[in-house]
Amino acid sequence: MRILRRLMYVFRGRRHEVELAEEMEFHRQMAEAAERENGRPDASDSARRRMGNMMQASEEARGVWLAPWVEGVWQDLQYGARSLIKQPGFTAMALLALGLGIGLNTSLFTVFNAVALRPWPVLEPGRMVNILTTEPGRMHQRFGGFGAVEYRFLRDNSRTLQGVILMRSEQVRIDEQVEGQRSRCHFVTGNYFDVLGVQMALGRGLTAEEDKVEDPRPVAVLSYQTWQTRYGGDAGILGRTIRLDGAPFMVVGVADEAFTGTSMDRHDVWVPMATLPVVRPLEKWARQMLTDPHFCCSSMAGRLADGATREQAQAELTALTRQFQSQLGEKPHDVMLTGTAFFARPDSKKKVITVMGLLMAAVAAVLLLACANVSNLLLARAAARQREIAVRLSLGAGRRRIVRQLLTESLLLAVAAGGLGLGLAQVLPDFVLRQMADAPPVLNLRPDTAVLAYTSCIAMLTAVLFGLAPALRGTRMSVNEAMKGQSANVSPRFRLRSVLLGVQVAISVVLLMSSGLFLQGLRRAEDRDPGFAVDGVTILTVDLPVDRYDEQRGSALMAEAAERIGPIAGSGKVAMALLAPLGNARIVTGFRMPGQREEQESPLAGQAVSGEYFEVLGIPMLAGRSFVPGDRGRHSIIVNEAMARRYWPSGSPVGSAILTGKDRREIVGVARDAEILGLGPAEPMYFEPYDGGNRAVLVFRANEAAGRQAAALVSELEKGAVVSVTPMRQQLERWLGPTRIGAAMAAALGLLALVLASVGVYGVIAYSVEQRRREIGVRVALGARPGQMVGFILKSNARALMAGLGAGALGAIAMAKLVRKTFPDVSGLDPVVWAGVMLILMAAGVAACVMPARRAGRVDPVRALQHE
Amino acid sequence: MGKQEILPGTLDMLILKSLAREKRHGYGIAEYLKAVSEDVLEVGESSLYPALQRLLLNGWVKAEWGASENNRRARYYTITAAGRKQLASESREFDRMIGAIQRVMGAAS
Repeated sequence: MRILRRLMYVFRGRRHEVELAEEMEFHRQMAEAAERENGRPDASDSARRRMGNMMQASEEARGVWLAPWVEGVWQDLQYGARSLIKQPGFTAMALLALGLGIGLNTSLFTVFNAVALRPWPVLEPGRMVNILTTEPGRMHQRFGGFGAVEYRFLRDNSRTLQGVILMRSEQVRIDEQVEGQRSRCHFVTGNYFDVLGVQMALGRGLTAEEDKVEDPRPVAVLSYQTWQTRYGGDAGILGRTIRLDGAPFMVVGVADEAFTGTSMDRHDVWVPMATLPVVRPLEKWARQMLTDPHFCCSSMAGRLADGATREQAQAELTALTRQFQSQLGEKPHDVMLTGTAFFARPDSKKKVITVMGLLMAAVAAVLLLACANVSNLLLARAAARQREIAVRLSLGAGRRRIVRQLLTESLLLAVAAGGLGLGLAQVLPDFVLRQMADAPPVLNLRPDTAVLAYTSCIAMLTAVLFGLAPALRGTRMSVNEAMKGQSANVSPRFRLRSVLLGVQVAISVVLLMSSGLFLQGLRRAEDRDPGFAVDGVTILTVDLPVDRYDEQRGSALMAEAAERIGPIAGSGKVAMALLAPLGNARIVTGFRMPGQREEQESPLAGQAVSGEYFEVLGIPMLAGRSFVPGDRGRHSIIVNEAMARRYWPSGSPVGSAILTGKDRREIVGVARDAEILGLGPAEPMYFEPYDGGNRAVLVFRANEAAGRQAAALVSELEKGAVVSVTPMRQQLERWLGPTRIGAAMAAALGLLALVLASVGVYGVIAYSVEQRRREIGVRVALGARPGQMVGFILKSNARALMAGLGAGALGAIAMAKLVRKTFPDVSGLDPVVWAGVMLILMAAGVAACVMPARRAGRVDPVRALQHE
Repeated sequence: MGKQEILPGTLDMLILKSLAREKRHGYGIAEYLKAVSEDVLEVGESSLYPALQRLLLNGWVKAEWGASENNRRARYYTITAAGRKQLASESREFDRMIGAIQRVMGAAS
């Protein structure tokens, strides 16, 4: 009850004070009037005087309402701030260690939050849902999309969704974009911007009238980014015509800067879904997509109607889609609704969670290390403040009160460090992302409530972690002895310090070990034989204008290009592929063995290549043959060694078949393992025949000059083609880029760990020397030489150091297993890394011992003993 | 005769007592105590108002605005049921104390 009334007071705040003032003024006037009636001329003065100090009275009256601890906390804060300022060295050290620790954690969380947790930047994102299909009873669950016809059916019949949108993204050329990356064009239903509630920076969004299949209007909305970079923020952009893969579109709007789109892709331009055949006039599927009910799969999302829940919508959509599918005679699928954050999708969750978990563990370890460090510093400080604390204890302050005060100090430190950490998290992720990718993904890294909450929690947690033990230790003392300047019960405090020492060593072993593994992994990746020819191989990417080249014309032109390049290519062979080797892209198909049901399909990676591919890249056939003309029609495939080993362990797969969907694919050859999908142990994969299309990669042996010559030949054939030349060596380097960054980050973390641990070890040992000054003095007086002193100091800390190394080694073994599961590039534990890490730590440990020990050796026995 | 400071710890009880019959405003309470004690007990503002806030906080009195005898806005305090209980227990305790003190003082030495 009292608590409630106190809260009431806080909420009423100012009004309460006004009332009190009015009440007291009334009192004063009444008293004055009474005095005057009694015939005293100076009544006003005396009434005021007699009544005492008005200010003080109201101050006290107000004070009644504040809980006594509020005042105490304020005192503690002031006291804590003062004592932190008084020791700037300690404060700076602690802030640096904690700030780095919290900063790293916050940085990682900021990225995680931006990538995975933030919903779409739209109006009331909580009411938006991603709508996915799932297939009941599948072993490897796939999450699919919807066809346009099914979309229209659901849109028109759903009561639980007030708006449904369909989206599909395609790469296009904007205007005459000859070089560089292609742009991302999103084909969306006309209601897209309305349903999402997106503001426009300029003009308007799309409309339903513009998105009619029979009468598509070529209008486009630009992203703010595109408007700024490509059109210089031209205010007269509205009404201008731009070309998307050659087709003219009129710009009707520019989206708000804050709207970064509805997927992880870049969003450069939005056009009505119905204009798909306008941009892809020669491709049959573009029209089919819009009109064929059997055609899937575009992403669908919806906004829940007022009062409708996600469960209701899921039930309704499942029923509707079943009805639709059964009318078509298709196998029905289930519908699943998720939030719009990336992490909400179960398939993305799986991808993110292990990598994120490992990284989080690493930065958490660094923070733990920082905590152990600061904890040690605080212990040392508590020892130095023993007298002060003893005085306060003997003056009657309760132990709890003093612990609270010490904890408040820790909290102050942690909060300040949290502020520093937030600052660091403003610059660090952006910096790292910039290093990692040429075109970093569009991420909103501004701290939101989730980030702030995370940082505050971490700061509080660290305060308790590093502050509690020293506070409890520091106040457990015999007042008598402390006042006398003795620290008789050194041992328990010392034990805590040894534990902290061991923990620090252990954590740094684990961290150093993982950075060692990453560095070693990088070195191996650099020297490893990828299983295919690298030097002297050129990759020529040819991108034909889609408005003039369909699949067939494309293949014809590619064949001609290959023929022309032949004479300048080594051995006269020019291979064709859909995707470049190490191009960070792959085909993934669901496949099953004959006799298995479709539900039992599992995913399989693949590449589409021509027969020459294996010859040019020097990948031998271990069994069977390479592709020959006609294989494409026969659905022949080639599998690699890893696939053959896994699925046909006893014999050759040549002549067997696998099933992909409704297709039966006969295996005609087995290729030796080559790491064309990515460096690292080769995974099972298959090759399907390819003979070019309107986009292909030509691979042949040539030096750079010949490569450029080949590019010129292709441009001669077709001026509109976008051609780029990449030496395979460069492709390999590009692939190593992220591995390098990973290794660099791991190394940075390891180095940080090493520095923190060394400083920590130094601190502990220096302190132990300080505490045992008398003992050392005696030994020196008895003739111990400085060298012996170093040995003595080392020995007394050896147990903690060794225990730390041992525990760290065990941790490292466990960690290495985990890391290798997630990052196959990483090497296993090898003796070089082991020896390196142990040596580094021993050296750091010895260095940390030598300095204080030498100081101990110089201890003047007379002064040390007089110290009492 | 001189003005007497109120015995420590009794102010709350005295205020509650003064409110036992009727509601009063702050000045009224001070006047009442002064009059009934025949000018012996004088309560200063600096102790009266903190005490009143304390009573409010404990829920022993309620306050409401009303018109004073000379038609000015004044804040009137009313004793609550919890306040009456408190008053009863405090005056019992007080009687016990006074009795004890008197016995000590009256004892033949």
